[in-house]
Amino acid sequence: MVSTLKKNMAGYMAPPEPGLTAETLIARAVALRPALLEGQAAAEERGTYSPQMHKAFEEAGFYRTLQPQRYGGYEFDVPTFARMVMEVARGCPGSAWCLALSAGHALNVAQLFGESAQTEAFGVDGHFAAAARAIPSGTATRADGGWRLEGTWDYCSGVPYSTHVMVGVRIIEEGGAPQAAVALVPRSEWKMLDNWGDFIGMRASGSNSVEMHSAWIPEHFLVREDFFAPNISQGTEGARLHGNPMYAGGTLGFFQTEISSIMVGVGFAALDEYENIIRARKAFGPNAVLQSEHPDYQRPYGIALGKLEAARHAVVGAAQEYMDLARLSMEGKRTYLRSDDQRLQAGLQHAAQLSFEAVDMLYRASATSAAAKNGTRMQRYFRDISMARTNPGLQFELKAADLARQLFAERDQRQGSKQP
Amino acid sequence: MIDAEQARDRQRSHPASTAGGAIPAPELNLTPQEMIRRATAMRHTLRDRQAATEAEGRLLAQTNEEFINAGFYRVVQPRRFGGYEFDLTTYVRVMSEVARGCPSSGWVLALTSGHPIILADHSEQAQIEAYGNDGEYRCPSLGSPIPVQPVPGGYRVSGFWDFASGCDIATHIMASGLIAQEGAAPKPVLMLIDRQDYSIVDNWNMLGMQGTGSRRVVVENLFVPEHRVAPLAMWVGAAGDKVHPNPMYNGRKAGFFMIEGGAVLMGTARGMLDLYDELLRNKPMRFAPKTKLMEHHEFQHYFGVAQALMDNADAALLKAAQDYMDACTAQSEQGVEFSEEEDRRIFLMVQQATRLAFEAADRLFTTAGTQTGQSTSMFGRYYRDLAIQRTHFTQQMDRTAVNFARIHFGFAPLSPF
Repeated sequence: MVSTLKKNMAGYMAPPEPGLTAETLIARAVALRPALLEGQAAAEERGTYSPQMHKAFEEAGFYRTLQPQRYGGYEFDVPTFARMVMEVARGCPGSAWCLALSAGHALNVAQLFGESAQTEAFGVDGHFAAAARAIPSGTATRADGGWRLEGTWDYCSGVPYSTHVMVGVRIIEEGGAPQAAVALVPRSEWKMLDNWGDFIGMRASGSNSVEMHSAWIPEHFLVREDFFAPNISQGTEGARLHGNPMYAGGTLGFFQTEISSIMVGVGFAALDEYENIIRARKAFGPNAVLQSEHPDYQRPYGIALGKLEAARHAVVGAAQEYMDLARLSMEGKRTYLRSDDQRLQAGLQHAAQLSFEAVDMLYRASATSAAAKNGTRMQRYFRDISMARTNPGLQFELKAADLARQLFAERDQRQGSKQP
Repeated sequence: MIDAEQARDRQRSHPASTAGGAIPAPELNLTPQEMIRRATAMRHTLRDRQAATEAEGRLLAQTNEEFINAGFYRVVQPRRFGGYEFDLTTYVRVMSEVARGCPSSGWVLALTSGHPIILADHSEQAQIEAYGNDGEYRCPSLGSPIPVQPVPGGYRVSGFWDFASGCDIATHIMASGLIAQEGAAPKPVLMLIDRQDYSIVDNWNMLGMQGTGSRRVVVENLFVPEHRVAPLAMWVGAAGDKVHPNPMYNGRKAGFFMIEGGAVLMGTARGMLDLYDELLRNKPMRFAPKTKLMEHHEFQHYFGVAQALMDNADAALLKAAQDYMDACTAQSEQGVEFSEEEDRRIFLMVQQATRLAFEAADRLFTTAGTQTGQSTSMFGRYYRDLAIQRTHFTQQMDRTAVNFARIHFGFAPLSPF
């Protein structure tokens, strides 16, 4: 095990702005919020953000937030990514979903794939974005020194502007049982289906399906790993290549960071809108004051803000713990356990739940039937977060017993014996 | 427009215009149990028509016919005027069963068929006119009062009201107005207006409950005679002429109004539980061993908890309906005032019950899978319907809680409800 990681600066591709700081990146997301707010309805209609917004995200450096410096990225940390996504989501939840779930996966490519695949994938200009669908929904068979891929992957959020997709596949080999793997597939090899949008919310998330017919990828664009639980016990090749333990953490915690960052952003978006509403509207009854001056409307604001503050800290804290656990593991001081990953996920699920509670409270407190009409922003946030909550990753009760089982099993293993 | 003379012409002679006369109910031997059974039997048909009802944006004409034939609109209509005069718990059960099959249809039914109890505060003459010769009476009640102009013999009214649930199939509306008072706050009133005197503007475009057709109704320069104007009892608590001996008609109205919406909400959440039951029986887990969801320990837990939440919500609503009737009876028979505090207590109890139902529905929706988020998903439609019901102005529990406590401790409430 490598105890210290060193950066090898040879062959580096310079990022567009070598001096860009994390704080500037986040400030740019804040600055884009008015345009995102303005574009919400059109983004819903389109099913994703506009080409102009894509260009703005690209120029702001968002797609390169977690991309290795070696390949023209900024290689900021996961907390920076989380904070950037929250700010974008505060401007437009669906757009943030589309952005986060393509921009974030530079981390997974840098983690799971070998140097040659990374060099080719991040390409000559270093622009990279990859929607990911981990559930194996297609097959890989040997062909021409590489892999032939067939299948359809639904809910590939972020795919409209993706240069690649990362998908779970089942390897079909003669004489062997099907085996799970992850394939990295460039855009030339697949087709995005026009089948996204007819959902309650998150319509701007670009969650189209991806179809592959006789797609082909070279040998090294496929790794025999479980996307939800890659083998990180010996560190990863990517972490050593980049000299950065960030590329050696578990995937559950990271994926959940993407989602929960968006969810917290939606909560703050709803809070902003709630303030707009109660400052403009009078309370009910005779001699009514502005709602913003009435305790029954101030209380939900305060409670929602409190929940959102807790949720925001929980997300940033979990993102930092992901970084710390990955580092300790690469340094050989403490193994990044499966239960660690599940534990991070659990905390992040509850951050999302807190945000939902906040949105639910604000929606109800601000809402009259008029506010629930089609086209209003509060209604859109409620639809967005409702849709997001159907995401399997947010089923905290479903995962809770799994977490307990895993944790107990690991403890039993450490103690060398089962409880009587 | 009509003038005072024409209005008087409309006061034709009705069978019920004398105390001895009465409009016969269509089915003299109809029992509450039979009416509930009919509602239950209609559920699957209503489910099949949900998408069409949503697309149409109003209660389907065919469904309306079937509701009329089943006697649903007459569930709490006075016997004297051709109704069945069943009790509130029967009303709640019928409305919940219908809403369980189609929330939008249930909403229209509940908020029109329940309103004989609101109309009871009107003068006898207004009621005689409302029920006409045959007892056909379907009437939304409309808040957001508009100023009306006093003229000799009545009022002149021009304006509109939004959210007129069921205006398409209604025989009348009860619309709210404000009458200016010298040196005092304007007096809120409810005006009984005939179907022929209002027009409809379709401005109903919602996330859910699209099938209620809760559109805008407009009147222009309409004369409303004095006898068709009653205090807005839901706000001011004042009872009217006490035309009916049954105490159920003579209580305060806010608690009752909340029970109407509560019945629909319970049915909506219950309809979701029905779908969840089917889903768990039929859908396999996504990952190996791909057993049916109903075999999975955690889904069993979800289902059991949702069932308990729903049963408690239903029980609380039925208790509220019973408390309402008890308060009415105690007032009529023992002279115990049906107090404003009691009215708000009942209101609050129903609000809390609906929160239990929301909690159940949330659990069901978020664990049923991403596909339920599709616009065409029936499961998703129930969720969207609930999301709209959540925003109804009666659902501001914070407001009611504070106002109830203020009344309890002897302070004036800050607002109606």
